[in-house]
Amino acid sequence: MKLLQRTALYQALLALPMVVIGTGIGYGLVRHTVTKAVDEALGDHAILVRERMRKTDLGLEISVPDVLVRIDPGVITGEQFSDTVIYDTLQQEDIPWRIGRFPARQADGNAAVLTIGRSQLETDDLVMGIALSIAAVLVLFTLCTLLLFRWLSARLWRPFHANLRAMQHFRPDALAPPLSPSSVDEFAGMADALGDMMANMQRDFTAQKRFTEQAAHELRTPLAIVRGRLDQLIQSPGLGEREAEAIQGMYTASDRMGRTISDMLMLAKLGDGVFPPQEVDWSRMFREEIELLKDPITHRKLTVELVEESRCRILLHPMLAQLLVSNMMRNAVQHNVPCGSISMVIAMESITVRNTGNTLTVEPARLFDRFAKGDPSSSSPGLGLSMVKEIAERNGLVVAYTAANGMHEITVCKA
Amino acid sequence: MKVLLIEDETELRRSIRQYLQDEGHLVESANDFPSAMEKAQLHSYDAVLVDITLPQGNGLDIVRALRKADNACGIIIISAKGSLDDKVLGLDLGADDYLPKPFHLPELVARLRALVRRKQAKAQDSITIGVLRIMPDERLAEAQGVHLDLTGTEFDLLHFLAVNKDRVLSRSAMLEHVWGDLAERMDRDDFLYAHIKNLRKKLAAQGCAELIKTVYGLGYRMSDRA
Repeated sequence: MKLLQRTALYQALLALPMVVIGTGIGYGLVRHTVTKAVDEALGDHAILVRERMRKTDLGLEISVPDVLVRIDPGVITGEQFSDTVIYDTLQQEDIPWRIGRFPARQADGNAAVLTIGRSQLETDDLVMGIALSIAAVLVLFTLCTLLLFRWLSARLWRPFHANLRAMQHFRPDALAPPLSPSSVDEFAGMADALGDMMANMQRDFTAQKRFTEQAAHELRTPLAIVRGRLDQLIQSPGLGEREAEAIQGMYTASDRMGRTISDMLMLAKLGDGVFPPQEVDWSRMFREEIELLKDPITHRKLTVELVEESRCRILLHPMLAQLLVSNMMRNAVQHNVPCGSISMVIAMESITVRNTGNTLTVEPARLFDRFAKGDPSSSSPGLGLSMVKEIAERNGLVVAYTAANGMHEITVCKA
Repeated sequence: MKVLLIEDETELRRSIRQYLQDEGHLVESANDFPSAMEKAQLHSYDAVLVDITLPQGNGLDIVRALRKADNACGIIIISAKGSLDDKVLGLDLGADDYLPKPFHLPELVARLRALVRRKQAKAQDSITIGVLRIMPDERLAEAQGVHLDLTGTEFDLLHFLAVNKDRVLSRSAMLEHVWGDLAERMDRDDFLYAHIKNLRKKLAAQGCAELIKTVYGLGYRMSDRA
């Protein structure tokens, strides 16, 4: 829920009881005032009637519409007021009355009770009308406040939202998005801090990238020299067995170093590169990789099976997807046994490569570590699976390894 | 063939130069940007090998300048940066090929050969070694006039050996030429050996198995000499 909606909701929730209570209090006050006025009027009326009683023996009920005057023998102490409902035969409905009972004395000196009543029909209407007006004013006022506040908030938060959008599109390898200035201290402070952070990130990113490139250059150039010199050296006539062995050893070492360098640089690139995820045709990726690995697969007489259960919805940058598939596949070919098998399963939220192979010599938990190898004397630098892990982790995916009965299985799936 | 080699690393420049000279090419070299630019503009070459990172300049600017002047020479970029952007940019600017360092010298020779063949498009685009004739464009080979039925990999190996005739090719260079990045990443056991064995068998059927010689402990060499 957006901040503005949430504040509006809270304000509305707060305003609702206030309107209800406000209307209630207003109604009570009006009611009280009106009743007091009516009671006073009844009292005045009683004084008039008492006056006349002293002179004449009324002893009867005087009743004009909406007013009731009755004199009964009896004694009461003090004035008593009450509300009652009387059925009106004319209008055929119950009508509220305010009744006042006053002590009086008849002309003959006997104590009497003077009852004076007034229909409250109109008064009630009046009170209700006033209460409704109060409610209406309160509701209107609240609505206006809410709308005004909303508009003001939207205005106040505008730089915040603009900067939020800018941050969402920020990429360390692209031009930094401009941040909106603000006269609000907090927002201005935040924009400054964000600006500094973005600049730092870009500086680090560029430095890291330059370092990787320079490292690549500095490592590959000497290796190119070694290789070139070796290529020349083997042309010399009359190289003996010992020399040949030494040269072959240097070739092997330089190949191994070349492989380590390119894997390390690739890992570094994964670290400082920006690779937005896209939809991937996983089935095609696997088919292409199988084609590339045709030679070693035939040589080892491996059976390969590709099953696409459904279209896989894992999103990845094409370069990373290719790297992921090729490292999983190469691992499966490399660590296979002669006449073994490889099966690949593409499911909606996972891709799996299963292969036959010897029992693992490295702990499964360490399998995805950098430079972890099954065979310590292998010339492979052992970075292939760590690349798989790196790619997966950076893209919200999970890698799992399981082994049973000489079958090894690596699955990459959505977290 | 007249080749201009632009490379600032002395040791590498020397080894490339010697290797190409032994191949019978005429090699001139430059070790920084200004002298490279001057040579490239003053003289005409069949091929220019240019490094991207140079003292006082960028090799890509030389590519740009050569193409702007409508110079039709073949251009191969040799770079240790190995970034895809540089490769794409270099080829966009008009370079014909991009060879990432560290490369094997026989690979460079093969690329140069392919480049010049593409540029000249002459009838003389087949390679003849003794009774063996290879037609790279058609990817066909024949011995004694009889067509050899080769797999793609076998043809690649035969062709690579042929363009580097009389040179010893290391296993490492051959693996990288045929399987590229894959050779770098796999423990390649002996599938190279298996392919060479098959290739020899097919050549033997035409009586020329001895064209591919094993250089003990080092690799292979193609030669029609004894």
